[in-house]
Amino acid sequence: MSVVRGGAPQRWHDPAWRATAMTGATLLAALGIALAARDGAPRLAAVALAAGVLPVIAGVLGPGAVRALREPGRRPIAVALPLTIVLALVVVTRMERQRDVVLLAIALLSALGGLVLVGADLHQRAQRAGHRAGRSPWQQMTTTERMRAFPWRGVVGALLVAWAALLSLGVVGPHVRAAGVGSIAIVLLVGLAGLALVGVPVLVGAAARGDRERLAQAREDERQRVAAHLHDSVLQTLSLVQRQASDPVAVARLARHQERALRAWMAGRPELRSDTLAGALHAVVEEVEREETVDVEVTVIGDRMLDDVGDALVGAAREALRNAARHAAGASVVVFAELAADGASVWVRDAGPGFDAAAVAPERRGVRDAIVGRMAGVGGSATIDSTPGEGTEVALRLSAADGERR
Amino acid sequence: MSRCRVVLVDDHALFRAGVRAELAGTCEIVGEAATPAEAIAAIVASAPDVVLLDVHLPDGGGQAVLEAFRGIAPAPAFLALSVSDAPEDVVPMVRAGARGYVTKTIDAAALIDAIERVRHGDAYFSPRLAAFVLQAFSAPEQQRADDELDQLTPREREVLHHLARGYPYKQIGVRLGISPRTVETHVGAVLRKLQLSSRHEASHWATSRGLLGADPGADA
Repeated sequence: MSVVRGGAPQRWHDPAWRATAMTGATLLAALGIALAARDGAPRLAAVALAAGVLPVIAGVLGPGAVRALREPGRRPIAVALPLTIVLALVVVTRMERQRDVVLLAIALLSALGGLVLVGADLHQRAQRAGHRAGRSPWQQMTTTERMRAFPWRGVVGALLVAWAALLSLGVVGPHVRAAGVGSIAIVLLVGLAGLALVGVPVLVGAAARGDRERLAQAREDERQRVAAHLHDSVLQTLSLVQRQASDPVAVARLARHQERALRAWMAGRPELRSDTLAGALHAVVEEVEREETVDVEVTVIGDRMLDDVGDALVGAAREALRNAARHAAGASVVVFAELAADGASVWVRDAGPGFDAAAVAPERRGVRDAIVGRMAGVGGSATIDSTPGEGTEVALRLSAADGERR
Repeated sequence: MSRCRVVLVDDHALFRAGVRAELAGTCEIVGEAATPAEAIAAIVASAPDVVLLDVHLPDGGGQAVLEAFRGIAPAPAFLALSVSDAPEDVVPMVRAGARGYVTKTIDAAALIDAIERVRHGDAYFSPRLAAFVLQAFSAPEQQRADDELDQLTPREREVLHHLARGYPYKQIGVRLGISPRTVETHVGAVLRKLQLSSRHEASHWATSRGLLGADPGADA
């Protein structure tokens, strides 16, 4: 868990620090006005004291408390430090009324405790929301747990804060009657600002903590998912490669197979999907590469769902690939497919020796029938284009659309 | 013909060693670099004919190197090289100024062919790159910018289509009844359109053509 440390410019990016500094400044101003307005010039020393001490609280102790709050072990210190300072300040400025000081201290303590309780409750809720977000919709629907439990801690915290407010009013009340409306406003302002000084960091800290834990959880889940996949795929292949190190053909085949699978996974195709035409074409290429020692470069643009017509196209492509692998051994084979809902074209080209279409041996005609006949059977077409010495291309098309001119 | 002078930019020393061994007979490796800064220094120092440029480098990737030499007159020809063949890697590199793109699984003969091609000022489109470019220019009518530059002529489309199907230039010429040189001209024109149609940012360009953000893995 990283903690923001360093100079003010960096701290300024921390929302909790910003909130603390602003409330601190407000409090300082309010207190200064209150002290100066009530007693005039003799109390200038007190104003100076407040001006010296409060920025320390606002700028250093506040953010420190927020940081400490983020580290669960240091929470008591974080609460105790600003509390001590505030109490000392109150004692210094209000020495003549001992009873009031004690009451105010109790009120302050209660308010702090209440805010901590409210913050903890909010934090727990944020955390639960994070766990919920990490779940699948199905899990979210089916998991039964006390998500909507009554917020006991939150309510107790709010009650404590309210009680502290009442107590403060009781202490300040007698003085208020004597003073004017302006003094009441100032006292209220100071009280609210003090509350905000302590409360805002606590609340912001709780929210930030919840966010961070949610993020960490998501990262960990993702890491485990990637690790699981790598374990089943890459590590598995690597161990096979080590065992078959003496067989270069097998090693090359394993590497090629794994490379293709990894690429598909990185591109967001988790596995070769068998329910789309593009997935089926990739699977067929892989199958032929496994059977015959051939390297096929396949690029598929677009996709469509696999149906009977698509099955025929895939079958014809398989025959064309096997043909290319057998008759153009060692030459490169390129498969290019343009797929759309209203048509599909697949080209299988090898840079092999080629043949003269007019002088085809009968057994090869049989293979041609397996390709041409299959396509014709579903209303598509297949053309075989070959020139001796220039390679062979089999073009498979579904529907009348001519992909070449589109 | 003099031996081609090549600078090799890749952050994997092992891969550089492999390429150096493969090219030993045909090219002269005049510099090597592992980061964009090193690459720029090496290119300036040795003035090579061709730079083999890895896409994924620390500190800005291959695109940082391409940007540094954009618009500079005696710049070398860049051939992008990557393990990735994803469109979001391929297309931005070509748009940033690479004259070709090959994957690292390419065999030595094809790599040398590609180097020679870009060295002489031509473009090198592997079948897969040609397919991606074809797809990029085939976006639905309403998404396409009404810029003349963003359109391919029917002939350019045909040439690209044949490249995607794995035909070499010579055979494309024969099939279309044009000279191999004319085929090269068409491919060069496609490359120019790809690089000049920069009215929008490259990413926007790619997104609007369905090259980016289409796969569910991209938004992670």
